[in-house]
Amino acid sequence: MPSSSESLHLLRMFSWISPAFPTGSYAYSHGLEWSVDNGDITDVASLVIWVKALLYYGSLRSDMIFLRQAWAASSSQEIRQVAEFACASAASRERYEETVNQGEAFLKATDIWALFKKDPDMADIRWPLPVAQGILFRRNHMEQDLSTISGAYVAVSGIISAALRLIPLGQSDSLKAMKQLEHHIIRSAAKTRGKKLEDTGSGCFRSDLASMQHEIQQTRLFRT
Amino acid sequence: MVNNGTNTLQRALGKFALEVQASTKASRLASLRQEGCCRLLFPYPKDHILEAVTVNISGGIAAGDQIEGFLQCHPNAHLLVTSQAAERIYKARSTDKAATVNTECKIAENAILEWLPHSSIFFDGSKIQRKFAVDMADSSEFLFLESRIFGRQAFNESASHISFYDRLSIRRGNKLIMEDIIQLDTINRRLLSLKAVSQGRPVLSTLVWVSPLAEEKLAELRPLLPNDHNSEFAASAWNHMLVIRSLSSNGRENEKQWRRLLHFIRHNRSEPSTWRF
Repeated sequence: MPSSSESLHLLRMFSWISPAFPTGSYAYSHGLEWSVDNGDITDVASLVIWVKALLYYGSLRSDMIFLRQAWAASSSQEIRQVAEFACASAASRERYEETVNQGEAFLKATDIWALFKKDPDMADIRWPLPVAQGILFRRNHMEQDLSTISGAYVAVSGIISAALRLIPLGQSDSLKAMKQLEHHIIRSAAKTRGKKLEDTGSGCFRSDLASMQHEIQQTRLFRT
Repeated sequence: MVNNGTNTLQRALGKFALEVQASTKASRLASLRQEGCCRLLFPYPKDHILEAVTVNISGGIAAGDQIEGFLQCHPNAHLLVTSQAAERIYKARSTDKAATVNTECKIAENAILEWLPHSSIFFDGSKIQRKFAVDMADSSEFLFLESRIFGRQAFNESASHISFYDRLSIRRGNKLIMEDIIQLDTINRRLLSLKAVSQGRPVLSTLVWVSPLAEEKLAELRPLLPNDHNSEFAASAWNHMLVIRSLSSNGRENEKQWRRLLHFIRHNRSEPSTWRF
């Protein structure tokens, strides 16, 4: 039986990674709206291959490293460094907005728990989502590996939920996609252990192009 | 001598350092240093811009090579840097260290630096780490274009193991605005064939233009972006930057397409002198 404080920490994680948590995640598709429209993603199989690439070589891999670095940051100077680096790494305007809008909404919503108080000298920092998650998960006593897969879970489930509406996928198909990606989340997260900020970077060029192309897409359900 | 893979091969070291200042009529060389395999050539000046052409006299980059460049534009100076020809990055042995190319740039108030080299061709088995760092004033401008070719299709080359790290860092007004890192431990045909990666297109280009004018140019630029069955171009602008990314099947076609786009971005200024072919 876990201790009551462990149970409490777990309950908070359920709230914070839930799609119902007010970060506005339903409004962002990470460029998937373009890739579906373009015919690159048409079903569970192509969706899973696409997301796997992001986890091992692309934006989701970098986000896991940002989350770990924010988790490990021990001073406001280090937090600032991770936040600025993650902001500067956005592949496009929409990627930048997607991550800071959600990150800042996440910080605002978690204020209720009063676990992280911004220093006055942090007023000018923009907060990418994985950075905000890393800081809060740490202060909620989640260890770094579990924090990292929790952050990746939020990103992957957000993309699958966008795919569910866009392709569209049936409910059970989207669950199949999640099931197939479970161990890839864990494996790719393990590979980011010990990585530093300069080890981030994208190899998913067409996913980055898609996030740019989405800006000019005619009919859009999603903000990114 | 038979190379059994354990001996140490002769490796190229090269350095260049160039400072440019503005005079009443044109931008002029303020200081120049060149060492090892690095040379700079200065074609006859046009449009009051100082043009510098980088030359690697060792004929290409092999594993373990180390190249360091430093470029400084003083207030109001305008420097255009290009290369003599496409840079070739050759196959390394498995025990070799990656080649490193580090370039540092400082751009003062109202100065302009343009970095417009020819493409780099990465041969199968090559290992390289390139870092390009810029420190620029708010009122200055920086234009950067890099095209990387992972195996040339026309020569039937394809990648099976390229180790690649390419980083562009830009600080503007002492604030970090860009960390564009491309990193793949192993670039091979299977990886490139993934739809999220490049769908088999081996030519990858990135243009970054940082300027007070960059964001407002986006709407005019977008209709000029080529998109056909051989190439995909896309653009975005934020935080005082305009970024264009492209993937192409063919390096030569890619250069032609970029020339048209640069013509627009550079307000019809003359092309780099080595770009005529």
